[in-house]
Amino acid sequence: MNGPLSQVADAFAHNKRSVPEIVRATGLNRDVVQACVEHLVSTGRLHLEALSSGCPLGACGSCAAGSSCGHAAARPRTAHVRAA
Amino acid sequence: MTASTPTVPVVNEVLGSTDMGPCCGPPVPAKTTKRTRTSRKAMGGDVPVIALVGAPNVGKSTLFNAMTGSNVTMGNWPGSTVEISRGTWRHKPKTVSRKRHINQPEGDSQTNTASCEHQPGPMATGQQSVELASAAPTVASSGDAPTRALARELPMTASDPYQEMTIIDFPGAYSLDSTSPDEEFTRRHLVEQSPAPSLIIAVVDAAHLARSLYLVSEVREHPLRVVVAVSMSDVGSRHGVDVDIDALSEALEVPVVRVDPRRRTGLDDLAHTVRDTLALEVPSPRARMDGIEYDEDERFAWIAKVVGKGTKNDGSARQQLSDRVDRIVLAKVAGPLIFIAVMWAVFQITTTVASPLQDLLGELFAGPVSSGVAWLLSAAGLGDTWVEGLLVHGLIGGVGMLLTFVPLMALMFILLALLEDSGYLARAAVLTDRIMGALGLPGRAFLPLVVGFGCNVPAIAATRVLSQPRHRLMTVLLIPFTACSARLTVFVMLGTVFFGRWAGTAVFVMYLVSILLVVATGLVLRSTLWRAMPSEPLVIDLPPYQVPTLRLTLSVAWVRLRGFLKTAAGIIVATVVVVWILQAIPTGAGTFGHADTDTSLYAWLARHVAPIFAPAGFGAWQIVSALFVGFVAKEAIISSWGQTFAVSGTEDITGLGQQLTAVFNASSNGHALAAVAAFMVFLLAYTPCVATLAAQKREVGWRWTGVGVLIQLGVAIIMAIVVFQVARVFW
Repeated sequence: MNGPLSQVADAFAHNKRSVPEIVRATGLNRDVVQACVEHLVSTGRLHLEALSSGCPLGACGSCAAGSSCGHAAARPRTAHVRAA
Repeated sequence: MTASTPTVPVVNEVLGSTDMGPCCGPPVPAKTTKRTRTSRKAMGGDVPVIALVGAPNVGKSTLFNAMTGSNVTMGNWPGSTVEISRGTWRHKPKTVSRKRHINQPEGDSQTNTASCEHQPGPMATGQQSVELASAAPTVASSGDAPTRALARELPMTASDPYQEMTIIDFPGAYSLDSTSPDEEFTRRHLVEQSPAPSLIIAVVDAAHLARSLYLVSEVREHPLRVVVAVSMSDVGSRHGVDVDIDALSEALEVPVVRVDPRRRTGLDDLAHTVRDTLALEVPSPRARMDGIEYDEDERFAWIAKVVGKGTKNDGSARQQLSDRVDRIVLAKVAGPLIFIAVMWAVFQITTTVASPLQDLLGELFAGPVSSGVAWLLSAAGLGDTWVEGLLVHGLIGGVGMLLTFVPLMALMFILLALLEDSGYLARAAVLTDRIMGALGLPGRAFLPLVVGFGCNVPAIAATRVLSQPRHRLMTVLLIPFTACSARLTVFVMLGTVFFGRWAGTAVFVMYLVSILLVVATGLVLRSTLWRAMPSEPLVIDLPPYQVPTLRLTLSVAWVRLRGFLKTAAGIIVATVVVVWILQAIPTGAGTFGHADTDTSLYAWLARHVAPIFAPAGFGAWQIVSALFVGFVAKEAIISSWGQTFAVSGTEDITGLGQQLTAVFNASSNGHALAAVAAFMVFLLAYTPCVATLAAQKREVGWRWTGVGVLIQLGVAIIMAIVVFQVARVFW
């Protein structure tokens, strides 16, 4: 059976790069797609990482933007997933 | 309306006993307990045991606290590290008809109940049947409609055995798949061990309904009484998700109640619904015709159907707006062009709006501050000594010059924070990743590269997210080509001085050159060390766009600006002192502190290296010396020029610009702009700061760090020469 989970996994295989793209490709509800992604993560088939576009705390040396990452959690989060 | 009464006599002695009546599993040793005596009968066989389950962060424990009050027992389940809480849910006697509660909301429009008339069915096993029968109530056991109606009409009196229930708050579990100790525990006690709980309250998050329903789908596959409590409806509403309680109940085939444990609404409905459900027979589980257990895909198909039926508004409207915008800003051609336009606007606004403020600060440091300090030193008898030289020409001339960039940097950080907070920068990450993917480079490598545009040092540390050692090595070698904010400061300064109203464009071009350098170097490395490395699939979950918040924007900008100021106050001050000492040492006539800069040790050293850069148009000692200082920290280039030209009597940005223009003109035979462009390219590509080198050494060792430095120097000098030789034709 080609259910939602298989469809989401297929979308990964077809190089869909974001949840909206997967939603468009599968026609599934966004909430369901996100639930499928989280299920794949929780079952170890995908890895999810938060993307920080700033600098982590305490490792900046001479850089002006050195300690700017304390606000990463407050920023819009970008998730990064790769096949396990 | 009658409220639930959270008076909870929790009971050490009972919890410590093995006589748990219908309770599932072994007793819980008390860790924090308010000792309140209660009768053993209260926790005996007549008291139903309710299991409170749900995924993490759905408000389950908040609901548990609202149901039981503060007097609960917490502890690790014997033989495990799984912590559970147990309490008693006591409900005040009620004499009104239950029908009112089921059919009518309690006044709170967000609080309502829907019950589902599911049919009783056969038990899964004989043993289970016996156990559940013992746990089930004796009233209304037939499950037929008249009996159920009678059960609803029954007043809740002191003799009602279900006005007091034992609640066990199970650990947050996304599923019963046993992928964690918590899930293993939940599975064991809900569906494997006997006796099973009398009833399960499954808490689901209205804002993330599908995610919450996986556990419900699994529980529904077992002969268990289930009531679904929908929490976080307010959050769901904010996300544009509206759960239709009746429709959801119909789709799930179990009673559904909306609760808001933080406001303590819906608890009455929940209590009555639980009581009603306890009065019914255990429903038949959701099962396939062939008796085979559902697989996860089938469960998600069921969830998709339930979500479709159970939500009036699934939040897609709000998300659709973001999606519509994304279709444009992430389009293959338009996306990068929009990104380019946005970044150009950022740098253009930065350089034009902040310019007057920068001039003002420059005049302040060159005028009143320098004069004031000089006057004070004269008054103290230190006028015209090396102390005045160090303070006025060194610190004020150098650090002061850097500080004139504070308004400019503040504005740039605010604009970048606005882009970040709005969600746009996350889209930029998608664009970057797409470029990486198109070139066959590993998508994960873009993570540290993105960080590198803030600062190279943490970016190198971030390469640890890469699993392949060769990926890490290559990314470490690419990161120094990203235009960190320290380099941007120098670009902004040079842009302001040499390109006037085109300053923003000049900085922006450097930003683009940085990206091109990363890509080009990556391609070269891919053809060598990155060959046969598989790219990894990447999914980016983009948040919806949002209106940036002033507080967060200013806060993020301030943290970055503070970093800039800390750098100026720390390593830059130290560098300024060293530069001043070198400038104070004469190589010919003069004494320490009174040497002509042109004949100082500083100039003497730089002159020996300057000819190397003559083909690139900037073979002057004043320029080349700054590159050496920039090895310590790129911002120190500005402070060193401030010192060099302050000693020459020019102490504000305008005067500095004139001096620099004269020097670049002289070194390039009148092609100053071409030489500046070459210098900027060299600055972008050459050796990173000492902190970055230290980070590189830590990650890949001295050998590869050395290789990296050679690559960077080679690329930098070649590019600088090419840029100058081509640009001099036009400029």
